[in-house]
Amino acid sequence: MEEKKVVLSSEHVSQFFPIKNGFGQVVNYVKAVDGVTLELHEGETYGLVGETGCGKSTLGRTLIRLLEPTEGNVVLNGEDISHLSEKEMRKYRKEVQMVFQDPYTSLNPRQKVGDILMEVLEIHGVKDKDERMEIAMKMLAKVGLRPEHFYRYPHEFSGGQRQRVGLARALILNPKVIICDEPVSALDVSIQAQIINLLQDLQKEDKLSYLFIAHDMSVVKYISDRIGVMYLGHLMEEAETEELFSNTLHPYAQALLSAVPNANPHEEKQRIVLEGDLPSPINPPTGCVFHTRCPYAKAICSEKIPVLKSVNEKHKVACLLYDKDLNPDAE
Amino acid sequence: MSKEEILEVKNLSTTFRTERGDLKAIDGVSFEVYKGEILGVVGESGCGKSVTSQSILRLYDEKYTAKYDGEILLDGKNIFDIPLKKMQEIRGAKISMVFQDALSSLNPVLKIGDQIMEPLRIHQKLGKKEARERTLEMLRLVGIPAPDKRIDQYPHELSGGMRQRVMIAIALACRPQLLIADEPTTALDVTIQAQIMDLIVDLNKKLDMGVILITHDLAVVAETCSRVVVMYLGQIVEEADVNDIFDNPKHPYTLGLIKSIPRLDGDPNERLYMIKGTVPLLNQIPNGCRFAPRCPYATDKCRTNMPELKAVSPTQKVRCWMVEE
Amino acid sequence: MTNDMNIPFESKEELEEIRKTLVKEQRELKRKKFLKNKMSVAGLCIVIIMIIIAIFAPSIATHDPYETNVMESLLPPSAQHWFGTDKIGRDVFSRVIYGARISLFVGVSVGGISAVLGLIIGLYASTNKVLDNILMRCCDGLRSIPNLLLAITLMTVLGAALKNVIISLAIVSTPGVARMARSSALVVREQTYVEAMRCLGAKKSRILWKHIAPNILAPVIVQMTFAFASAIIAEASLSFLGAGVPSGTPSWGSMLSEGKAVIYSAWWMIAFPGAFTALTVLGLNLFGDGLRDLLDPLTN
Repeated sequence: MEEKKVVLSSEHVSQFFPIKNGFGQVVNYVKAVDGVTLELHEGETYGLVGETGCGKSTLGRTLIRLLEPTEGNVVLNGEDISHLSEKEMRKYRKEVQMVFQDPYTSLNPRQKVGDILMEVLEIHGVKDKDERMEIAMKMLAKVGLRPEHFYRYPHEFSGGQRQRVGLARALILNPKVIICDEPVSALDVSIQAQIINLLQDLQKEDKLSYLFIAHDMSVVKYISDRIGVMYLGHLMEEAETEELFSNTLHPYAQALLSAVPNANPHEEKQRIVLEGDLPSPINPPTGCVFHTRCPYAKAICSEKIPVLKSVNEKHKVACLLYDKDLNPDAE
Repeated sequence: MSKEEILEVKNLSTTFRTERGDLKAIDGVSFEVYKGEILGVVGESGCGKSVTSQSILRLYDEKYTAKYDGEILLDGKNIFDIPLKKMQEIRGAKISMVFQDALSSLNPVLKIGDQIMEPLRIHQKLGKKEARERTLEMLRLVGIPAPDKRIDQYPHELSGGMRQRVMIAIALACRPQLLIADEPTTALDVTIQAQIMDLIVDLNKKLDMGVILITHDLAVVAETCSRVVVMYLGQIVEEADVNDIFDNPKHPYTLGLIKSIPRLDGDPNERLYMIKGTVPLLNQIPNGCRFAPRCPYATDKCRTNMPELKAVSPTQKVRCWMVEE
Repeated sequence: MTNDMNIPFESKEELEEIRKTLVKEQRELKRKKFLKNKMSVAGLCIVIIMIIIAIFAPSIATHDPYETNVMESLLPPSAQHWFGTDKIGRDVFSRVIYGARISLFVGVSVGGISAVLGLIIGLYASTNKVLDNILMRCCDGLRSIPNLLLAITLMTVLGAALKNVIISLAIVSTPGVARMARSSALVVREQTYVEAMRCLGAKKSRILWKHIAPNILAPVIVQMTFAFASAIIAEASLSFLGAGVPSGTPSWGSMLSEGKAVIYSAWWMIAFPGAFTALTVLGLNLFGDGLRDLLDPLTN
């Protein structure tokens, strides 16, 4: 397989949020993301899936440096940006942008659409007002909006149109990477398809890389080249899309995929039901974080922490069932 | 399968009085619910699916906000003829409802046991001990582990999935004939959603009640429902068995919806179908067929004349001029 | 613009045309919305009339407000003295008209100063936890003392002068605005569009002033109209208690204060300045409510 260019990567990134008591002393940490390593290649879509509280959004916000990682490094085009100050980050902001879930709260209600777009250019030093307007107009056309939308306020738009404005705002600086945080989950079914198609068209046009964070497996499967599955702050499995669906290895990923409904009434599915509730990220289980709910858990799973290891060139998994180095009984 | 009708909605319209004039949120909706079936009501936001369900329980204030037309027959009696005070005897006892947001639907300062007992004590006038017994039974029925412990817990001590199970337990406590589930799993994760949907299917069989499942998720419909009603802008555009809806959709809107969702077994290289435009606002309802402005097959007739909901087979009804010709 | 062809679809002129119609349309919508709210229009009318009265006081007044005439003391309302006269024979009507100047000036100054100060304090308190603690504890401290008591204390320290009335009343009403601004800013700060601006590399000060400030303006303005109204009343109370503007200066408050001694024999000395005070406060509150609705784009 050809070596692909890595545009954005996280190396053992952890994000711990301190919990303080009444006196301001740190008593514990919420371990939202714990040692995640992943690479985003040029021009690909990497789907990041997992359930509420698995840390996928936190990881996305760490990668775009809205948050400073507690441990580990975020690397953009070969440069470590993990601990840059807000000022130093500014020149890297052009490279990575974000599209948000809720199109209703992601636009300033007091700014006209045109002003929203032009302000971004102003921040990044486009001094000439006519030039700013021209770029903004072109951007509107690119995301399928009309010139008169330039002068309208966000509340005059439908959810799908707002999401287009959000996309235009992210794209106006010509970024290489876009982190999409559940970009279609707040939209109606028929609008979802419009936005997904638009995302794909833009990707082809500009060679964009997407980190696509979502919980809807059918959408992720459709749009992604590779998929990573997260659980309680850990990356459990990572594989190319077809490989992941045809040869699911991690017991959690198996359960997750088996739960996804398919729009086919003739299909009878065998569901794997997970016992118990999601453990708290404040006191995650020892060893493999999934062992408390895993149907195949063995004694060793509560002692040793599995690491993400390649099983073949398209597929990595963090599970002791497949790890001969840590678990002598593995297959 | 013999069909016993529980509920018949006949030509139901709900009009809201607003500052800007009256808005007809649903317009001439008719369907039946049979014992032991799960009827899916699908549509996008603004199609009136939730208004329909809330109208069945007459949940809108009739003095100031809403006006109902048509009939809703429960056991042959029109719900709109019942005095409002007596509606309480139907709500929760004969028809009950599960909402999307389980956390805000539960009272945070009451133990869950008390919340399940409440309808039992109101409707069935059970004593304290009996009610507690029944509550434990209900908790077991909806699959809550260690019910004797959970019964004395508060809602915040439970996870999202557990809370939705409690909601279902409350709804089913008085063994209603009909359960209306309004987007019961939208706020939940897929693994929990699967469990709750399985529970609803399971209870539907066990208790032999009718279920109306209101959702925007076609995949959920495909997996759980036996019959489907598709709504668009306050009207039913198609009604059919679930297999017909997915294999042989007759209305362009149904077809568009089905083609526009990515399927797990679909081809990722194939471009998703797009329904053009957006759902119009209720005060800008187009003339003629309401879907005409977004329909790829629309003709001049579609833009001027409204088609009727017509049966094309014993189990399928469609509102479209194309089918009539 | 060097080349009009660079704009897709429409020419620059057409675009300008679109912009104009849209701006007009939006303005029209706002105007209609405001007019639809009859109470706020009534409020605005009252405020405008009061301002006109204050500005044109010399031409409206029938007498010199300072001119004393012991012969005509405590006359009831008549054709000559519309609102009657006070103890030393000054024309109450003229004094009420001139009094509008001081009362409105105090109201506008106090409202304005406390809105600006409160907005700044509230905004910066929302950015930094340490700063928040310091600023808010100061505000709490000020608020724990009864308003009037605090104002009297400040007046005693500063001395009786119009400037000092304004300073002390501004100090009294700023904490309320600051609290309101802070709590709104804390909500707005968590909105996704603020996060989006950070992603885009906007500076903190830009986010604070361009994205947070406009979105907390509505509650601040409402709070400001309250400050405006209560300043008029507080000035009246201070003057009533003798701690306000120097005696002899016509203000509604000082007139009420002078009238209190003769309330049984000369009702007009209390009734007219009292009515003007009440009317202005009412007008401001109504106008403030309308303004809040107008500033909220979501209710358009």
